Amino acid sequence: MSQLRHIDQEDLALYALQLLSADEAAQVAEHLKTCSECSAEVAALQGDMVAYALSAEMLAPPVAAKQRLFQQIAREKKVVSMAAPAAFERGETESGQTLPEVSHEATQASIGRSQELWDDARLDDRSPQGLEVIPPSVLSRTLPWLGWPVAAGLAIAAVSLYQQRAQLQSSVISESTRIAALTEDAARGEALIDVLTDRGAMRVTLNETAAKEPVKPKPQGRATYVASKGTLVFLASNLAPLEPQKTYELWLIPAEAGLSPIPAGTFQPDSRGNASVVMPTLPKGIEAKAFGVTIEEEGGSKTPTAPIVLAGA
Amino acid sequence: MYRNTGTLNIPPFSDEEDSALLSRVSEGDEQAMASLFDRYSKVVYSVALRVLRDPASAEDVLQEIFMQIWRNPVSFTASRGSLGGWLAVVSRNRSIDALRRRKPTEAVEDVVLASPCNLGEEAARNIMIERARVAIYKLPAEQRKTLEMAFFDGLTHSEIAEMTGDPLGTVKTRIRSALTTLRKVFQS
Repeated sequence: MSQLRHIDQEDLALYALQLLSADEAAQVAEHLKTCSECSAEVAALQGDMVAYALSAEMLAPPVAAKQRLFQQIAREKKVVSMAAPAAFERGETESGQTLPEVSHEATQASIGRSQELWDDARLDDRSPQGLEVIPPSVLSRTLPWLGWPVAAGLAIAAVSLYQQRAQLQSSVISESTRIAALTEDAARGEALIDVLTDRGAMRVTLNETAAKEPVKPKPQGRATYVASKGTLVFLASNLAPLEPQKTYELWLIPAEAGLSPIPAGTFQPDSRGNASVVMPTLPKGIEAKAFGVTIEEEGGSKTPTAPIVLAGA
Repeated sequence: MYRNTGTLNIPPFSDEEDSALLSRVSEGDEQAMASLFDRYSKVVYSVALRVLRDPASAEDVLQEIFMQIWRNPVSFTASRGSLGGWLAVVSRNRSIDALRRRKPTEAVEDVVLASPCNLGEEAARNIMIERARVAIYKLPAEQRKTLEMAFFDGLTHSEIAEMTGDPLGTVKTRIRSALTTLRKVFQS
């Protein structure tokens, strides 16, 4: 990894993936400071990483995650506004973040109002005729202290208003999160109805590959699959109970030669042997040659383990 | 360092909006923060969950990354490439750090993407996801497996070579080849 030569392309990929040792990574980083060509390749590789990252099954975080985040955000702001008045004046927090303008303005406004009230108090120092005139020495001792309680009261009121605003914002965000979750559920339900009612859907009945006990009802599965949408509904019945730490796993066998079986969800039968897999995450546009079910370790497998207990094409 | 070469052939039509939202976040606008969360939390959480395989840990990574945006939105400036793509990579890297129980090995500023892809809009993101999945399924099995071990399991090339019994050089070549194959699919 010389400074004079370019870094090996394969090492750049390992660098982008953060798989090099600390020393090797430091050498590459040093080289990148002066080599635009290698830097561009690392940027391109990190772009490739985005494409690969998207292969992860997309799942929305729990609704509580958003609430937790905004509680933390509100808490940080509260801590900063109460504990660091000097930083608050500058519009900064301990961590360097800029505080909301409204807070700063609220403080300034509060100070301004305090000043106005203080000025008013000074104007009220004028004694109306007919009233007892308080000796100047008493006024000069008392009035300078009056402004501070007033300013403190206004500051508390401003903080209270700010907290109310934060709470209102939190509840608005919480409600919008709930609506987003409901919308997603509705979309999922609509897609489910689509796949069940689609006349072009592929419907496959899966039967036990080797019958063992003719007396017992045979395990059976029915897969309904729309390749263009990547949607699949699988219903099974009469399934044998599983040993502990085992699970059934459904597989989509692609029609295109060379493609490996695609895991289409794990499932456990209920006490009557019934089970279902509804709308597992599958890539769109993969035509299926067949479907199969295997028994795998709990959590599922990336490749099917023989024997195939149910199969259908 | 940033080269806007367009690895992923998707127009960057939400970059401006991302910049505007980040700007509002820097002014303490919680609604802008909520918009960014709605836009990208799914990608960040899903990538973290895929690496860590634990919802609670994935949520911690999600929380950490979005609090970092809140505290220092300037570091996430959209000029470093697509914000969504950037967050996906940062999420993966932070998750690998968590998996290896090590401190973050990079500053977010170190991640620069040459991919003005738009992940902020559901429709564009879904198109990319489908293209990515099909492209990955079409990779040779050994390349796909090696890249998965490196990217999602955070295994080093030496660890992968040890586990699979493949020569070290072969593992390195497979990782790079798999990534560049993906690049070609998106450029085509």
